[in-house]
Amino acid sequence: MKNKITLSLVLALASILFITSCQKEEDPINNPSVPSEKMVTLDVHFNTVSNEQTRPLIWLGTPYLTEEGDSIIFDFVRYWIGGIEFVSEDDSVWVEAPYYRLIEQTGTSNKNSFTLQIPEGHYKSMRFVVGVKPNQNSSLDSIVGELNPTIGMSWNWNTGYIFMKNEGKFYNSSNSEWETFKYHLGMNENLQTVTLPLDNSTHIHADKSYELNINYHALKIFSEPNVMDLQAFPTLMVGPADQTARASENYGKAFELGSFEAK
Amino acid sequence: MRLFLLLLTISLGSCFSKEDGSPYLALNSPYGEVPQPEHNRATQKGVELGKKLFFDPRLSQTGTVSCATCHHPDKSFSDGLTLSNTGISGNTLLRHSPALFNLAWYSGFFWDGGSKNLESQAFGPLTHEDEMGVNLIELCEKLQKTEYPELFKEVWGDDTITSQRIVRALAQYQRSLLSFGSPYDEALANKTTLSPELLAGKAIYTQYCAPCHTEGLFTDLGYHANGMDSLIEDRSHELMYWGRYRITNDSSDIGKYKTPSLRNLSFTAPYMHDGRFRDLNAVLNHYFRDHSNNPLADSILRNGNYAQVGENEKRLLLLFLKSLDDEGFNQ
Repeated sequence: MKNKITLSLVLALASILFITSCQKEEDPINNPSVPSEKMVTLDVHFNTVSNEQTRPLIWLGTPYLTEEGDSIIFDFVRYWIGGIEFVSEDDSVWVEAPYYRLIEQTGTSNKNSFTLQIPEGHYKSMRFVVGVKPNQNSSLDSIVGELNPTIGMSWNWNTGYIFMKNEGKFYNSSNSEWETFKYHLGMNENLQTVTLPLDNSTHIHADKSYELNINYHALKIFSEPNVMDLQAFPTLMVGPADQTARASENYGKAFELGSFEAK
Repeated sequence: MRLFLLLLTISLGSCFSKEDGSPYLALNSPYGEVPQPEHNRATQKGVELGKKLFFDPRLSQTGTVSCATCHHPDKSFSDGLTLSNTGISGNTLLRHSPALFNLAWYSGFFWDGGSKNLESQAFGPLTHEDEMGVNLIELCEKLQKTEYPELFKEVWGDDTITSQRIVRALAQYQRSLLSFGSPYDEALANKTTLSPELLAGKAIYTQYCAPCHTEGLFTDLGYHANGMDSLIEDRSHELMYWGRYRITNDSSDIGKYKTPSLRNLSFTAPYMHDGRFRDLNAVLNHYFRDHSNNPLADSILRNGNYAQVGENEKRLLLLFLKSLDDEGFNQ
């Protein structure tokens, strides 16, 4: 009898050790660095928008005017986001475990929403990167979250992910033709961190779910703050370095808070 | 205490039992342990799987082209062609198929070093439309219905076939391609002296070749402009003809290409990044006669008095280079 009890004890403890010792593959999606017992469900939407109030969403195949007066038609907009952080009023930071998501608006896929579980609290800002941080960007076999080297959002000849990929047409006034533009932006030095101030009055509670809308002003990649010369540089891929740096700075500044409220 | 040890054994055993993590013991060289990334250390089963994948034409979209189509074992894993046209499209590639050996020491792959590691590199030829042109998602689905799942399970503990596991296995196999079996290596290992002619040839090598082709691996693993082109204007193919400049955007890298090893030269003709030299005589003519006055050539070449090397010295140099051939590796 005593042996049976001892054996049971051994097996029970072994089971606990088995479970704890093998938890190396943690849930990568919602693993807060600041533990909290009460988690809040947050639906996040990245909306690709134009600068026209009456027609906020970018419609593919429809001409839009940039601030500089260039006519643009988008075929698609795709980018990686990751490194999501929420900063509390006391400056403590909730950091999502490494995870990257593809945001895209293409002819066949509008993938712009996901759900986060974050601790309840009072947040004054959020941060994220547009692109992939250097540690994951140095090897295409290190797949974190939705990172995928098989979907045209990476370079094989110059190892790394394409952070922001836009393609479409622009109207070339010098020859009155619609011509193709391709902006494929990446490289570690062009990684953009976006910080968005949140509404200070919003204290989020675990008994409610919330919705966060982030707007990406797609046309700003061509003109704010750096005016891009589409006729001279219709194609940016890895380089030229000075041009990709200017365009990358533009898209890094093209995100703004749309809304943050209880559903 | 016994209870504790039993618990420890059960808990640790539960984590390791599902995969065969036996290290690949052959990863040693005369120059120490072979470098490999922590996240993809070679195992016996991993190298075996990588080898099978390397030679398997099912990895191409048409089922007709494997890695070995352009990387023949009897040619130090090069293909003998100036520029390969044996991919699925039949189109001629823009750069010469490199030999594959002692790869673990490099930090850049392709002739311009744009690919940062072997794992990432494999995605290039697998998916390029003029090489294997495969859709990796379809490939994984296809291989899942073959004998491969069991082999993947032996390596990774479960039988799911993913593109990153494919490239990791290929990388493990390629790191296992070690070539240190030449007469030069044997003399070094046995502490015997090279013949007087070989010693004389080695002296020529040391003066004129070693500045870039460092003794040991016989490459400095770096990038140099060896003066083959004095004018580079064609900006097509994302600056394919501009050498390492297309990777770094640094104008001092215009025309630079990776230094290949001088080992196994008898098996790896033709030579250079574009395969333009059919034999070693053409290579020596370039270095000892033709590169002069090329402003893009590395300063090592421009300042090295290469033109004074005579025919007998070239003969001795070729003899020494021949002693770097590893016959056993090229079978």
